[in-house]
Formats: sequence, structure tokens, C-alpha cells
Amino acid sequence: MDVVLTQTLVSGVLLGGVFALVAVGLTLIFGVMKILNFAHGDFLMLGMYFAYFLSVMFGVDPYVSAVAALPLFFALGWLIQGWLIRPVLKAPESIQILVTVGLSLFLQNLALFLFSPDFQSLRVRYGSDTATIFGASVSIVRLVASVIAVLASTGLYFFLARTDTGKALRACAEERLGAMAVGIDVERMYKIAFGLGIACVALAGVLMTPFFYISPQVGLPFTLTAFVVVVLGGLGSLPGALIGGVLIGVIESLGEFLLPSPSMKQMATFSVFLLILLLRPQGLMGGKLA
Amino acid sequence: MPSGARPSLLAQGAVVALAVFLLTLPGFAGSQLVTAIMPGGLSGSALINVFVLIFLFAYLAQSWNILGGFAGQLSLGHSAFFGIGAYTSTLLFLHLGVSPWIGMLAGMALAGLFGLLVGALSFHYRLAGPFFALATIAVAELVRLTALHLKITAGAMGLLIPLQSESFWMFQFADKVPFYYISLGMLVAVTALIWWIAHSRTGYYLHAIRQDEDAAEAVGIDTHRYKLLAATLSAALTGAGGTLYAQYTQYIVPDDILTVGLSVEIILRAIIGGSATVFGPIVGSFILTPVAEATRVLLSGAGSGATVVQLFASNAPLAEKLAGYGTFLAAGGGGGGALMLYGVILIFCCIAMPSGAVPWLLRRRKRP
Repeated sequence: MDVVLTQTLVSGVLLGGVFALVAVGLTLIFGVMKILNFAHGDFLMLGMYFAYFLSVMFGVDPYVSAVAALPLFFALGWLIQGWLIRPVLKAPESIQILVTVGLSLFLQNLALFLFSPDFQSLRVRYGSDTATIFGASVSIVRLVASVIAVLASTGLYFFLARTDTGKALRACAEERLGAMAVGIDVERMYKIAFGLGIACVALAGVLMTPFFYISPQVGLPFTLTAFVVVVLGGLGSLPGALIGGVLIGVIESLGEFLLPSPSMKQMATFSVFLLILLLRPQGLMGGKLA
Repeated sequence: MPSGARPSLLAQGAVVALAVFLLTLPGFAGSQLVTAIMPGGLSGSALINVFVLIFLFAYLAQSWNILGGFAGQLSLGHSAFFGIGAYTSTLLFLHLGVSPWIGMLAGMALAGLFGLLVGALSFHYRLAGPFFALATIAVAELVRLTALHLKITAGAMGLLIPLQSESFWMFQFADKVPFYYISLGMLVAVTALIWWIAHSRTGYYLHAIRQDEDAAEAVGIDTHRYKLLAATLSAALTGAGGTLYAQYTQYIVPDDILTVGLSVEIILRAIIGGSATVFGPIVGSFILTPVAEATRVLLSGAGSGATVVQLFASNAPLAEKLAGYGTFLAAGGGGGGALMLYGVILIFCCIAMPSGAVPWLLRRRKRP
């Protein structure tokens, strides 16, 4: 096979691993609460700034920040669920959407206000190291990000499949009233789901900081990409999010390879998104969480 | 919704007084009295500007309300229709010298057709709720990216509309007062249209679709047709607002007028006042627009990011870093203050009064 094409495919699969982790968070929240989080990508942005400032100010390595980010963003998600999402759980769909749209607007502009619109990028010592896979040369940081992302997604899958809390979460996703009847604290499960979802997307953000630019508006394309991934993989399905993530990653990389300018690539992404939305709203994998 | 009883004499008097006030406002906006009571020494012209924006956004929120409110199809992409209206009339004017009034009609036709297309595709494939909202975002982003890359729209440079000669026919005025009356007239016209729709058979059909589309379908309403009608009308009216905006500001650029942020600004007015009500968007615009303008003036950020990053990476003592950062934030930070406030207001409205200010007030009045 053509070397350039191999290179493109491999980097697409790696990118897809990170997309999958973003989408896993989104699909977990949707699966359990039937709420589409329009602010999802903005937590990715927060995760990036978190790692960036820890590194610039205190010299903390991004992979150390990744460990610190998990409990922090889990707590943030927990609080947001309690304060903002819980009051509108029984409201009309449009109100639920608008709450998360408002949250997105707030977070983006908070970042703009605090950190200015300038693009930042984080340079790490090992940022330009490469490894060779299937004859394609890939950057270590991308490889590590992808591997950790896939591990985290798989870990979440087994958490949902095997542990009591995971089973309770799935029960809430499938039959809210039934879960309440057998004594599951549904409100608490919702907070856990939102916390886990936010922790996933923030982790993805931290992992991307060594190789991706950082700006207050970096989240929106990821929100949309995550929606594409979960729509493609089936809303509320974790394995679907993984497969969808890799698929979209490859499509994006091929687009980058074939299309001349980065903005045309963005147009391709949105067009693919529209097509998928129109043609396959039920997704590839049905709708089971785990 | 029909209110049943006739409005009281007091209410009628208040409406007449408000009408007289709004019609004569430009006459005394420049007077000593107004200058004296305006905060921060703002001029009468600034007051007129705020009112033009109130009317324009109320008009846009009314237009959005047909699709997003009455028909219950949450569009987050109305910036696309707004931009199509603005670019159509501006390009016709700049290249062919066509009067923007004619351009406004052309823009309405194009925006309406585009709305029909988006609606036809979305409703044919049964997109609803969050999926319809997502599709409209994607469409609006595609329109923005297209405008950024076409030669004819001058991309990120934007288009300037030079003031050639003051002429009503050419929609060009050196003064803000004509825009005041034009925007007020457009708002009154669209409100009359919506009042008429809301009290017609179509209005009741849309109400039924919003409440329960399957049930509406079951009793024989052609839901597809009425949703399409709402999408087309809503888009066309929004397009006309785009032309007004272009003529008023004399400058249009994709990252101002084709953003998701603009769509949210429009929706906010309708939600705050009360979506799917005839007067909600007007009330919402009167509440939000002055707040938004004040914030824009007070929190216009001028800071540069390089300084923030340099500041934190430098070896200066912590206290000095914090003081420097405080100065940066006090000067408006990196900007975004106004939109941050919008986000907070939107969240607050959704949680505290999801049906909006107008229904909220009506409910309070009914209580003993």
C-alpha cells in the first residue's frame, strides 16, 4: 500500500481513539439521562487549559495533570448535574437543550475572558519523538493519547458491565422507574453519570494538549464531532462510540489528506455530519449502553 | 392564544401611551432632559441606537418564534437566514446598484427557499428535537464557512457598504432616526402578522404540532406541510432583518453575522419573553437588549493573550503576577463578558421561568 495512505490511515485510527473517548462521555450522559450535552466540547477545552496552565506555571507534566484532572472534572460534572441539569430534567426538550447551550456559551466566553482569544500550544520535551507502526511513523504523544483513551473507554465499559454501580447506572438508563422501584438512588446515579462523562471528555482534552492548539473556541468542532460519532455508533451505545470514533477519525484524516485547506476539511466534516444525521439516526449498533 | 376578556381601559391607555412615546421618542431624544437622565453622559443618538437594536432583535426573535416557538422546532441556525438576507441585498447593491429595498425582497426569497430546503430535508428524514437543532447548527456552520471562502463575499475581510447619498429609495441615511422608524415599522408589521397567524387555523395547527405531533397527525393535520410553511416564513422574515442590519451598520462579516452566537442571541429574546407567545419576543428584547448593550460597552475586552501567558511563565513573584492579572481582567480580560452574561441569563431563564416572562406575569395576575 502507498506509504502516504498508510500514514494517513494510522494517524486516523489514532485520532479516532481520542474522538471515541470524547464521544463515550457524551453517549454515557445521553444513555443514562436522555440529555444531549451541547457544552460537551467546552469541557475538553477546559481540560486543555487545565493541563496547559499547570505545565506553564508549575512545570507539571501533562500526563500527571491527566491523573489530577479525573477527580476534579468528575466533581465539576457532579455539581453541574445537581445545579443546572437536575432542575430541567422534566422540562420540555427545547429547554434542556438551551440549558446546555447556555452553559456552552458561558464556558467559552469565560475562557475568552480569563485566557484571551489567542491560540496557545504546549511544548513538551518529548513532543516531537516518533515511533514506527506498520511502516508509518507516528508521533509518540498521539500514540500515547490514543492508547490511554482506548484504555479509559474500555475501563468504563467494564465498570458499567461488572460493578454494582455500573449495573445501577445501566438500570437507570434502561428503566428509570424500575430502577427507582428496586431502591436505586437515581439522582445520585445521574450525578455519577454526568461526572464520569465530563471526566472522560476532560481527560481527552488533557491528553491532546501536547499536540493540539488551545483556544476558547476549540470545543465546538469536538462537540459536533462527538455528536457525529455517537449518532453513527448509535446513541447511548459505548461500543458504538468506539467504532464510530475510529471511523470518523479515519474519515477526517482522509479528508485532510485529500482536501487542500483545513477549512475545507471542516466543511467536509459538517457535510458528513449532516448526511449521517439525515440517513442513519438509529446508528450502527442500536442503543445498549454496555 | 385568545385571552377571552377585553383588555381593561387601563391597559388600553397604557398601550396608547407607549405607542405615542415610541413614535415621538426621536423628537426629544436629543433634548437636555434626556441627556441629563441618561447614564454616563450617553448622547441621544446612543439612545436611538439602543432602540433600533431593541426593535431589530425583537423583530428577529418574532421571526424565529414562528418556527422555534409556535411550531416547536428548535432551530439553532437562524444566523444562516439572517446572513443570506444581509449578503444578498448587499451584493446586489454593490455589484448591480440594485436598491436594497429590492435586495431585501430578493434576500427574503433566497432565505425562504433555503429555509424550505433545510426544512424539507430535515422533516423528510424525521429529524426532531435535539437532532433538528444539531442539523441547523451544522447548516449554519456550513453557510459561515462558505461565506468565509467565497471570493464574492470577500471572506473574513467583510463587505463595506459605502454611504453614497442619503436617499430613501437607496435605503441610505446618515442619521439613525430613519432606521428607528423603519425597524419599528418592521416590528409592528411582523407582530401583526404573527398575531393573525396565532389566531388563525394555521396557528392552531402549529399549536397542535408543538404539543404532540403524532396526535396532530392522527387527527388529520398535514404536519409536514405546516412545519415547512413555518420554516419558510420564519427564514424569509429573518432574511429581511439581515438587510436592515447590513444597511444600518454598513459593514457585514461572516464571523459577526453568521455565528451560532448570533442565533443564540435571537433565541434568548424569545425565550426570556416567552416563546410561542405573540408579545414575548418584544418583551424579551426590551429586557435583554439594553443589558446586552451596557455590558458590551462596559466589558469590551482589549487585553492581549501574549501578556497573560508571559505573565504566568515569568519569574515574577506570585503577588506581582496576580496584580498584573487583576489589571488584565479589570480591563475586560480577553473579551466575551457580554456573551458570558447571555449564557448565565439563558441558564437562569430555563431553570427559573422556562415558559418566559409573559406567561409568568400572566399567571401571577390571575392569582387572587
